[in-house]
Amino acid sequence: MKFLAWAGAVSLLAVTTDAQTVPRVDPQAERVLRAACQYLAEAPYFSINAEIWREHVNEEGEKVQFSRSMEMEIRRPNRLHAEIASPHSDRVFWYDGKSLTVLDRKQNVFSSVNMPATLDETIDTARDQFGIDFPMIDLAVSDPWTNAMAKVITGRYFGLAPAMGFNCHHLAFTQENIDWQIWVQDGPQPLIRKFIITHKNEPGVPEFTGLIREWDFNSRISANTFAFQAPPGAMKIQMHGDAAQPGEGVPRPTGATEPRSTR
Amino acid sequence: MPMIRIKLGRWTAIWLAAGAGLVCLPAQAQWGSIRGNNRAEPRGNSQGERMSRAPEVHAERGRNETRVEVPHEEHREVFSRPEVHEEHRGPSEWEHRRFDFDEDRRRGYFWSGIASGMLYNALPSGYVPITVGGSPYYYYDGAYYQREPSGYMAVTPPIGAVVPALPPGSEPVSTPQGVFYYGAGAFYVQQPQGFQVIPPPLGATVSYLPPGATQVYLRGMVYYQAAGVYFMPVMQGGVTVYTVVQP
Repeated sequence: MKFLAWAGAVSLLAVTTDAQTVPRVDPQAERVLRAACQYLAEAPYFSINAEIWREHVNEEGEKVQFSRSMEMEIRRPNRLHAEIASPHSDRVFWYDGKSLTVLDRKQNVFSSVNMPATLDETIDTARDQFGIDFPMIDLAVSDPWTNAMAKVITGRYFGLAPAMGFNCHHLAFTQENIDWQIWVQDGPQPLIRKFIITHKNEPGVPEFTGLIREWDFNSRISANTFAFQAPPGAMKIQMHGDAAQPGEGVPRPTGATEPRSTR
Repeated sequence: MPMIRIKLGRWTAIWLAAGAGLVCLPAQAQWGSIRGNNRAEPRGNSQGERMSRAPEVHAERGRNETRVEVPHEEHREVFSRPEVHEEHRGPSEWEHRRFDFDEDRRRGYFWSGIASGMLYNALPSGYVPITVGGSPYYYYDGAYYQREPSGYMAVTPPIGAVVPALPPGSEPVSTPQGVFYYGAGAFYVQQPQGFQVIPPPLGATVSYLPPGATQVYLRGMVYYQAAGVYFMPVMQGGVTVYTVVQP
């Protein structure tokens, strides 16, 4: 009898533990997000035209938003081209299945590093080894659903709401480290139109926002799009993480050529 | 009255400076994707800026001392022998991520539009008079001026100058010699009287160039030159940053 009581207590504990670890996601939220993720995962190639916003909390506690336009082309499983630009900054990324190249158009310098054979691995390698942040790269991973739900605690559905001129399903998810919201277009094409990450554990709770103006699943993307060609006069520079620390073994510059203003 | 000194660890010092509105703290975990945020923070990778040492912070640093005489020679001692107090902290605290919007952020500061050689009819309201090596200068929010017959000319931050506070938006910079501060194109070390301009420390990596820097090509490599100092561009976190190299 004592054994049965003990076994019952253990079973109850196990059920309780499971209930705590299984995400509590509203079925409607799950249905909408699954559809959006499946639509993305089944697309062999696509491109987006978007706007991204990042909030910065400055030393006085003031929150300021900064924006960039973003164009990204993806061809699964191992091609990426993205340009993230503003009047002050313009960076372009090429991944061709073998290497990742980053071009700073403003300074006309670029850097290349070898990468794994798939986009998923490259995203993680670029992030972990070189600190490179690809905004909204969740769209490009091979399994968007598993990627999105990996650390979700709760998910809720808020019904239809306008976003970027479309009627969208508004979903909100919580995790330990972040909260995120997503707006998925209503209708036969469940396209993601808006995406917000709230960094709730950071001072000032800054947010990242992505607004997707255009999706294109039809236009074939030329192989040349993913092949880096250095612009005229572009100079190759080191990428931290694969080279000696800067300043070490650097020859003393002598015989400077004609200076060119950078402003 | 004797000055009270409180010795603090590296990151504590930086947080105190940030709390005082002196240092712009780096964002640590703000990735623009779920996947990026879900990855465990890399520990001890080589691209992150490391806070290996920090100059000490003094509880009283003479905020009201606006006129300080500093001989030119003094900076050499400060630069070569910063006071260092080691303290073990988690690697995640040391990471210093770079963002492309840092460029936008700087444009909101007064000093961003000031370059050496610009002439002004009047000084900005709230300027601080300082003396460096017997020469009078005027300081305001990261910009230095000298009197000219026709007005006030913006000048390169004079080595040895001591100002009561760091320029707005200054960032901590790790170097082989320790942690210093970089703001408005100049490097600073903390002193009892305030913050002193020092020569650019070799190996220091900063997120932007001093105003007026020019691009030069040497033996097939690109550098930037400002007031006789060379900066080598490198890619860090997907953005271009600049490391002081031996000229």
